Amino acid sequence: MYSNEKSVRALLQKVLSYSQAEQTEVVYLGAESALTRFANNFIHQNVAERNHELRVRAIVGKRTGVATTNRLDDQSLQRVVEQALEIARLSPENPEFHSLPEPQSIVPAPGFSERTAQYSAEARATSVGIIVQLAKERGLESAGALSTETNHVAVANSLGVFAYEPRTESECHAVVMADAQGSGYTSDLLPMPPQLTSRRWHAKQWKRPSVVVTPLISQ
Amino acid sequence: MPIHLFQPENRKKKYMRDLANRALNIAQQLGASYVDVRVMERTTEGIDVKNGRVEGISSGTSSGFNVRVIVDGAWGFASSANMDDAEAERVAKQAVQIARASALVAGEPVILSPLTPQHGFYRTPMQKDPFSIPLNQKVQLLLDADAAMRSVQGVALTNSNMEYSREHKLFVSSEGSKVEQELYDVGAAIDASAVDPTSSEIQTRSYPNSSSRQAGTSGYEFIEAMDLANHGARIGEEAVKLLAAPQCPSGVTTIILDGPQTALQVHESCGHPIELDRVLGMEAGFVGKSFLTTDKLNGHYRYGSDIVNLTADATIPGGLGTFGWDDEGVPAQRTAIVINGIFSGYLMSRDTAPMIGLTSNGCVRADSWKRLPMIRMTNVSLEPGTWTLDDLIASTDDGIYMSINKSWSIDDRRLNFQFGVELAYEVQHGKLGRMLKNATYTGITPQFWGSCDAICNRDEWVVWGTPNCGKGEPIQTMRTGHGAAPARFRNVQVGVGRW
Repeated sequence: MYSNEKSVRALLQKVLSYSQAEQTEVVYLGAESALTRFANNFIHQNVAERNHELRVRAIVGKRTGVATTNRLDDQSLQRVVEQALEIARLSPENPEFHSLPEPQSIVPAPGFSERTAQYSAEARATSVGIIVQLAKERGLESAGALSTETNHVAVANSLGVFAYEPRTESECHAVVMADAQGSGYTSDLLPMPPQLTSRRWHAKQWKRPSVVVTPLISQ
Repeated sequence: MPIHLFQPENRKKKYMRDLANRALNIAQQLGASYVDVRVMERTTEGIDVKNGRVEGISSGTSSGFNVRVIVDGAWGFASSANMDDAEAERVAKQAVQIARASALVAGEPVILSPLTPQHGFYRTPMQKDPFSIPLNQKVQLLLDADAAMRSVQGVALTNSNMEYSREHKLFVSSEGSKVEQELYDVGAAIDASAVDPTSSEIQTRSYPNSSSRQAGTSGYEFIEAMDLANHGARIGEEAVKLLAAPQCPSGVTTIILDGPQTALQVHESCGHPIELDRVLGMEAGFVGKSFLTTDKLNGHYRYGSDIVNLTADATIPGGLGTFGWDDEGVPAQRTAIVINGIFSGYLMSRDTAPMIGLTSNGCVRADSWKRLPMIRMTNVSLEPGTWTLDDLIASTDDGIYMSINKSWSIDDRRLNFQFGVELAYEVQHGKLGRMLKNATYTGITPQFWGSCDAICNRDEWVVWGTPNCGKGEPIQTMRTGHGAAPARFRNVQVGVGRW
């Protein structure tokens, strides 16, 4: 996966150089994500994935064609550019299309956390383990998921535009159930503070089930 | 050296096998007691026409592989789009590491139901490869349908779309299985909307189905057989007439659901509650549980009336949930879910089936190489009955005939539901009467199916495809099939909405 501005810029410039269209835009989406899922007070699914996608938009007059691929070898890059151009040539004109955008100043929007990007499988399991342990201590059943994601997003076009942004996000949600006596739910977008691993943080996040819900249907 | 999946078939297959075997061997060396590897490439093309104009033509290919392991009795899974030797090693190591982390918060050790090593190749039977049809021919098919809809005065919005995919996948396991599949799915649909200029009310009619499109595992002939252009004017006229139609009344009455709506009813109130992982609480943090708890698999629990028979069958020709092997390498098969109204079976995986003393029935599927395979519907169907549609209507003294889904809502245990349809007709003294709009009905699943007293025969039975069933975290979108014919239900509450 291309994970820094220099390598991503080089990749997009290469793709643009392959294009025979009048105007071309290339978008790169690189993602590395992980999710630890739990139910019945144990981790039952635990996954990680790494993917990247390239979207090419080819412009011929007022005709547009789009093709995507996640294959980044030279042969595949040439192929996706050709596909976008072929589709553009076969597409009808869009009278509302004028041009791809030209370069403008871009205000950075910081959204990358190294700690989130490096949050390991063991760390996720430890955090989930605290939720589970708290539920067990109260005789309750917990279910939910904790996830982290790192994205590298970039766009470039044949008019000189280039923009790149790395970003991270994390999220945790949990449902705690007490059979017929109620349940509680919480979720949070996490900046992954150190206190995530603390029992105190977890205790703050969900309330003890207190609502008695009368079942609508006798089973 | 990276793998070029567009190389000649033999070299591509060799690369896929070599990659899979490398990842598998490394995972085993690192201590995995079970390993499976899937290598996949999926190519999808789609065409959208809106209001007389081609809105978009898309083409995309996604390929990658994943490694799934059991280590210390716990699952680990990792996937990657990079397909080279170094990445095979990294991903295998990562899957093992993740499994070891899972074991830190472990339940009972994972036990898999037995499976004889599988070998073979399966390809979707078809006549016309959709990728070989010239693009302008496919575009013209949709433009013709669009023109037919817009020929109707009063039609304000039109949509026509088609989408087709080819999926090539290799599955290998540490138990010695090696299966390869080339699966095709195709689908299309049109819809026309009329808008009341005074009230801004919108009424829409779809063909052959709503929910984006009707789909199946087949070739381009599946789309051609829909004859979209010859249905365009009809649905346009119906959309316009719906604006002036009376509101569906409220009350308790008899309803007849058409095939597509019966299929949707099956999907929501039958297909989901029989997913064994859901039953066992594994989806409680996201989509809920199921009222079909394991104590009900006792040979006595009445799910529906005596004429209600439900099956899960991954072997039905053309079904959207049809394949050769599931994503655990279990052969496609047919399972009885409800027999003469009595609840009889679940959709299961190799790790959930043993929890209730059974063996997997091949219902594990992933929507891509990226995602973990999990229990999904195959083709969950209401078996045909004995009635013709004409006789069924003629034998209904007072009721409402309902056609094609417009809205759905169901609780997290799949008991209490409410559905809305695009179009309805009064049935009076055995004949279709006034058109009605905004028809809705509600029910409790076993009571509703217990009120089923007539199902149309195989002449009316169609396998309807739901191409967008969501489940799992990270979310996956699965293609499921549902065989269904029109069916009648007594004493149903209708007209529960407010407009």
